[in-house]
Amino acid sequence: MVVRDASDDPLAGLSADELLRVLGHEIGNLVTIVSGYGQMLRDHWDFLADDRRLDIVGRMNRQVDQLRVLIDNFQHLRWLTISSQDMPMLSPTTDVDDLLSALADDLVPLADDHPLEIDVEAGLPHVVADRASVQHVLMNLVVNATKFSPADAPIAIDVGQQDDAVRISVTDHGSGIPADKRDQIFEKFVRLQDGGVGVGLGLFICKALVEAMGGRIWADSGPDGGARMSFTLPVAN
Amino acid sequence: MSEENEVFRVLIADDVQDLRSMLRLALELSGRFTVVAEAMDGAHAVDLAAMYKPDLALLDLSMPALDGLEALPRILEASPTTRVVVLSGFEEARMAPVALKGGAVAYLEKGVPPRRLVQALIEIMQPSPGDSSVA
Repeated sequence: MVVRDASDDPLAGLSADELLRVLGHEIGNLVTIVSGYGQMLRDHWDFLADDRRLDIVGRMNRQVDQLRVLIDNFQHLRWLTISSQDMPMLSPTTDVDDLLSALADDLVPLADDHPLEIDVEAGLPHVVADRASVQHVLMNLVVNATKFSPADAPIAIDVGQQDDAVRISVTDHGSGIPADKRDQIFEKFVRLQDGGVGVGLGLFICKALVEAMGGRIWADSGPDGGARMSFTLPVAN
Repeated sequence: MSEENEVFRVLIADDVQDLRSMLRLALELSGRFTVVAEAMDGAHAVDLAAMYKPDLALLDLSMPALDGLEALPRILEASPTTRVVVLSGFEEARMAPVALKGGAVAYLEKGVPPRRLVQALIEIMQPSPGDSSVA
């Protein structure tokens, strides 16, 4: 487990002005999109077929979900700047299968029109983890996967043992992440190109959360060249 | 250039895919615009302007690769008949003079309701060569 103190401040070197500017810009985009769709529904309601209305409502929901993740990210960012005594409690006996089953209800709506395929290896050992942190990491990874996946392409979550840890991977069917950018994407304010709304904090926070639980996080390619984001949780003694 | 019910061909340049999708729907529901291309950054916008020669380009300012102000003159060079409207999250008072000086025919803020956006764009596309105004 990583113990943080003031010297670990992840916001070091970042001005409040820059943070507020980025936050305002991204929230502004999300609100513009939701508001725009709402006004179009109102203006064109009588002329839109039912499936078109449902499509628009689905798009609005997706923006609101992204707004929720964005707000969660900033709340976690605040948490990362405070002292280690306020960090979440780690549970040494977390059953990953149970955890994934419980989180699926939150993840499926975030995947939107992408089927979420969850495959957990049988007989995995318990891990050391904080449930809320794992949830937050997975939410970010699934939202990222939806941004880069072709419409209706499935998103896979697979879980298996890797040495003294349990590995959780989220794989999409997008164009993948260039090898020379795979480490860079975990730095703050780095955005993958054309990834929709986002401030480039999600993966940075994911890395901090995973490392706080004693694991590591990385990016590579899935079987068909899409992005595969993986993180580990240490096996409980 | 314009006639009643003419359908204008549009290029949308914005790095936020969901925003492009919303704008595409707003424009196409009006029946007066058809989106012929979408660009995710300024350099892509220049290439697509050269390829499609759209009647109208909606251009965001904050984009990777080449930002909107850098892309603006290159779009006009690649497609001189294209009318470029900057659609940005930056305050109009702050950025509109720079955009208009760079060759944009109008500057609109992103939060403008779709119906007003469409109305403004229809007015902008009316024939008035050399007109430069903030809508």
